[in-house]
Amino acid sequence: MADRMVTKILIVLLGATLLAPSAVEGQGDVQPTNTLPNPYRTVENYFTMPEGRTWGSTSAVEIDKDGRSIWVGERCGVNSCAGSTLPSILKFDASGKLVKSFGGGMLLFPHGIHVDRDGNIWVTDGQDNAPRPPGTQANTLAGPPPGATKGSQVFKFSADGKLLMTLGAPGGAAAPGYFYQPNDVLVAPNGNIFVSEGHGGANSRILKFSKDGKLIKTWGTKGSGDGQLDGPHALAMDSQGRLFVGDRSNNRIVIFDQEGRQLAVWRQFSRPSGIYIDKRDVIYVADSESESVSRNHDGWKRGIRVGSARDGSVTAFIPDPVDKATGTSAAEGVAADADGNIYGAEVGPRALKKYVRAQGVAAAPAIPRTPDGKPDLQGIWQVRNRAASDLEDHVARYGMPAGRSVVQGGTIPYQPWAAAKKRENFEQRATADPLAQCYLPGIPRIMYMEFPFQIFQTRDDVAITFEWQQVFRMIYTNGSRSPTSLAFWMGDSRGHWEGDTLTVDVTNHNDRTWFDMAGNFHSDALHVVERYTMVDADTIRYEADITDPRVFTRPWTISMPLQRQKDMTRVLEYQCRAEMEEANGDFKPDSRTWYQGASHRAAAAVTQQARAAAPANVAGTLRRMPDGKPDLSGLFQADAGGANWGFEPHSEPFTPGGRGVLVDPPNGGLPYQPWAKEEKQNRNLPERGYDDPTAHCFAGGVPRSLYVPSPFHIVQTPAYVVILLERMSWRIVPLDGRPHLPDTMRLWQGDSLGHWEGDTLVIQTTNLNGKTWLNEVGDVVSHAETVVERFTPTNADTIQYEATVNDPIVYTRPWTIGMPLKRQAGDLLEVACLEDNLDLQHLKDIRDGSKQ
Amino acid sequence: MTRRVWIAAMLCCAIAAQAAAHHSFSAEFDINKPVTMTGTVTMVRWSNPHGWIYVDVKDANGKVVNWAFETAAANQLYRRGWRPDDIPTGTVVTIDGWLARNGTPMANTDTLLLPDGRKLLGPAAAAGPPSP
Repeated sequence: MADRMVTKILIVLLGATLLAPSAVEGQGDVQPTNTLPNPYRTVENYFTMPEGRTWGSTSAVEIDKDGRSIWVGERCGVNSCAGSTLPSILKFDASGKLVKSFGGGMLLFPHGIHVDRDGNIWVTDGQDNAPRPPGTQANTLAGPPPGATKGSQVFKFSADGKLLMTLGAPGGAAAPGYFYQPNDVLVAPNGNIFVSEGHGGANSRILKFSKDGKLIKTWGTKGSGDGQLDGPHALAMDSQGRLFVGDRSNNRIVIFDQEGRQLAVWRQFSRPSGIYIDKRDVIYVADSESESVSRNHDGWKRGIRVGSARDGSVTAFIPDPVDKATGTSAAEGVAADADGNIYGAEVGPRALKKYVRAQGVAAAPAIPRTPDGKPDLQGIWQVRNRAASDLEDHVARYGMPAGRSVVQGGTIPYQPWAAAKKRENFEQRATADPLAQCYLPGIPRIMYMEFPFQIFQTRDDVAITFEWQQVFRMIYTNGSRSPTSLAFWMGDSRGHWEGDTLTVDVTNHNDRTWFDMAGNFHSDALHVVERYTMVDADTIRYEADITDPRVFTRPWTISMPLQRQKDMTRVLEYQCRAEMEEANGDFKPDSRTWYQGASHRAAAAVTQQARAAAPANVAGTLRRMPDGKPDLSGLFQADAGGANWGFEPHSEPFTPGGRGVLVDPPNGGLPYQPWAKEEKQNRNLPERGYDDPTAHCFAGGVPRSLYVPSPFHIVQTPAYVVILLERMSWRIVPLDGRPHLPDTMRLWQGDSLGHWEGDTLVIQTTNLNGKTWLNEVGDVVSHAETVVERFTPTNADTIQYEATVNDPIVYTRPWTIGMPLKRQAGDLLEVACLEDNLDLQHLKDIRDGSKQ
Repeated sequence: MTRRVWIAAMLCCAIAAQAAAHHSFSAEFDINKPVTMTGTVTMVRWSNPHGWIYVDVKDANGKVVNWAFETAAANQLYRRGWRPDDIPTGTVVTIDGWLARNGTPMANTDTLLLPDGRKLLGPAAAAGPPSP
C-alpha cells in the first residue's frame, strides 16, 4: 500500500498547496472539516454481550426495519471468526439488550451489513480462509491464494436468522460467480442488490444484481481517476436513490446513479470507512484511518461527520478521542436510529459505541409529534413539482408543463408491449385519461396532482381529504388487513409505522387509473407501498414503490417532497365533474336556488338558533376521548327512516317507504313557501329526475349526505371532526372557534364549524351553494340554507342526530329532522359513482324525450 | 313526537327500507309496468352506484334479447354477503321488476331469483335498516 500512498500524497499536496482543484473530480482543494461542533455525548458499554463474551472488532452496524433496534456483525471476540462457532450476527434492542444472535460458523469476517425494506439482514464476509504465507502481498492479488474454501460471500438472512440467499461462491476468486473481498452490500428500494468489492485487492468495483441474485452489471476499476475506485468500503443510498460509495483509499465519496453513472464526488466527509444515510437524508460518515492507517490524508481528523446528503454540507463532527494512532481507530461502521442516535462500530478499539445528542444542542430538524410520539403528519400539504403531467423527464405540452423525473433511476421499466401501450395512451390522452372524465385518480396519482389535501391522524387511522373532487383516503393503521378482494379505484390502504416512517400498503387496485397525464399506466396487479417520512416540520418525504409484474420488468420507485401549505387554513372543493357539466351545459343553473354572486339577493342574515335541545339522555356508557369529550369516531349509517325518499311518512310500494323524520314542525309537514311547494311537485315529474344532483353523482350537501343510504366514517381529533362519506365526499368540521368563510364563498358541502355543548357536538353549516336537493322526491333548499346539526351519543354505538334547516327563501320557518346514526361493522368501501353511472343517460333520454 | 313513533310502529313491518338508490326510480322506471322475465345471465356488472345484470331473454317470437336489470349497489350487495362471482354467466334467473321509461330492454329489479332459491334484491328493496 505504501508506494501507492506516496503518489496519492503528492497529488493531494499539490492540490492543497497550489489550490488547483481537479476539474474532473471537483472539490479537489476542499479544506479539512475538523472544527465543526460536536453536539453528541458518547455512551460507552451501552450494549451488553452475553455472559462470558467480550466485544471483538466490528465494522458492521445497521438499524432494524423498526427504526430502533441495532444489528451488528461482530468478529467473535477478536478480529476474525476463523475457527470459532460463536454467532457473529447480533441484534440488540433499543435498550442495548441482546435479543437475537445467529450465524455461528458461517462467516469468517463479517464486514458490511444492511437491512432491506422487508427487514432481511444482508452481511458480507470480507475475508477467505486460504493459507497466506508470511509476506504475501494480499492487496495486489486479484483473488485469494490457492486453498480458499470459505469466505468472500454475501449472505441474506431473514430477521430470525434463516439463510435465504448467498451471493458468490465460497472462498472467493477473481472469476465470474465469485467475489474477492466483498466490503458492503445494499438493497435498493426496488430490490436490486449492490455489492462493493475490493479491500485493497487488485479488483475495486461495484456489482449490481437483480432481486433474485442475477448479475446485471459491474462498474469501476482500481485507480484514482474518474470512474475508478480504490477500496469501495461502504455503500449507502439517499432518498433520491443515489448510490453513495465510500471510495476510501481515494479519500472521497463517489455518488452514482443506479446504472453506474457518476453524479458527484465529495471529499468534505473525509476518508470514508462507513456511510449511513437516514430517511431524512442526514448522512453520517465514519473515518477510521486519516493520519493513522493512511498518512496520505494528514490534516484530516478521524471521527464521525454528520451532514446533509442533499447538499453535501457537513454540520457536526464527533472526533476520535484517540489523538495519535497508528492503526484503525474510531468507528469504521456507522448507523443512526430513527431518533438520531448514532452507533459507531470500531475495529481497532473493538467496541460498539452509542452517541446521543447532548442536551441543549439543536437536534436534527424538529418535527411535530402526536401525544403517542409518532410524527404528526396533520395539516394541509401539496406537491410542488410536475409529476402530475408525467412522472418521467418531460418537455412541455399543452396543459402539461415541463418537469423532471421523480422516478428513481429516471425511467419507468416497461415491458415492451406496455411501452407501446403507454405511447398509445400518450397520443390519446386528451380523451383517454380517466381524469378527463374527472374519474377517481387512484394511488399514487392523487398524491401529486398539485391540489392541496389535508391529513388527519389518530391512533387507528390516517385520513386524507383532497380538494380535488372531494376525494378522500382512509388509511387504517389499526393493524387490520384488507377484508376483501374487491378492486377499487383508490385501492385499499393499510398503514403501519416503521420508526418515524408511515408505511402504507395499497392493494386492491383496478386497472382503470393512470399514473399521470402522459398515459403511464398499470394493470390490476398493481401493488403500491408508500412511505411518508417527515423531514422537517414543513416537509414530508413521499416515496412509493410500484410493483406490477404484468406491466413492468421490475419494481420502481418514485420520490418527492410534500410541502406544507402554509397559506391555507382549510381545503376548499374542486368538484371537477360538476364544474365540467355546468360548463358544457349538462347541468343547468336555477336562479331561484343557486347562489349567483354577491349581487344576488342576499340570503337573509339569520343567526340561527338551534331548536332548544332536550338534555342528552345518556343511557349507556359512552366512548370518550382522552380529553373527556365523547368519541364519535367510527363507521356509522343513519337509520334514516326513508328520508332520502321524503321526510314525511310515505309507503309507496315502488320506492323505499319512510316513517317520517320531521320532529318539528309538530304536524310533520315541511313549511313550504308556495313557489317552492310547486317546484317540489314539479321535480317529481319523470323528466325532472335528471335534475337531481345525486343522479349526476355530485355531492349530497347538508344534511342529505348523512341520510343517503351509504355509511360514513367519523374521524375525530381534538381539533377536528371529519366525516368521510362513502359516496366519495367529505365534510371537515373544525372545532377551533374560527369564523365562517365570507358569504361570497359557496360550496356543495358548505362551511361547517363545530363546538361541544356538553356531550353534544353541534355543527353549524353556512356558505352552501343551493345546488343540492334534499332527497329524491325533490325537497327544496336554496343558497340561503343554513343548518344546525346536533350529534348526541346515547350509547357506545348510537348517535342521536338532529338537523335544523333554516332557508327563508324556501320555507316559512325553520324545521328539524331527527334520526339515530348506528355504528356499523366493517370498513368503508368505495362508491365510484360517476365512473359507472349508467342511469344518468337514461334519465337524460327521458328528459329529452318529454321535450319532443 | 308521539305521532311519529306511532307511525313508525305502524310501518315498521311493511317498510322495504333503505335502498342503494342515487337517483329517482320513478323518473327512470314505470311503476305501472311490472314485468317478470326468465333468462340466462350473460354478464354481471359489479358496480356502484348500482350493479347491473345482463340476461338473455326469449321474447314471444323466440327472438333472444339481452336485457339489463338494475340491482342494488355493489357495496350494498357486498355487505349482505354477495360476491362478484356469485352469479356466473349461464345462470338461469327469474326477475321481477319494472320496465324502464326510455323504451330500451331494461328494467329495475325488485327481486332476482337464483336456481338455488336465493333472492338478490333490487335497489328499492335491497334490505332493511343498517345493522345493528
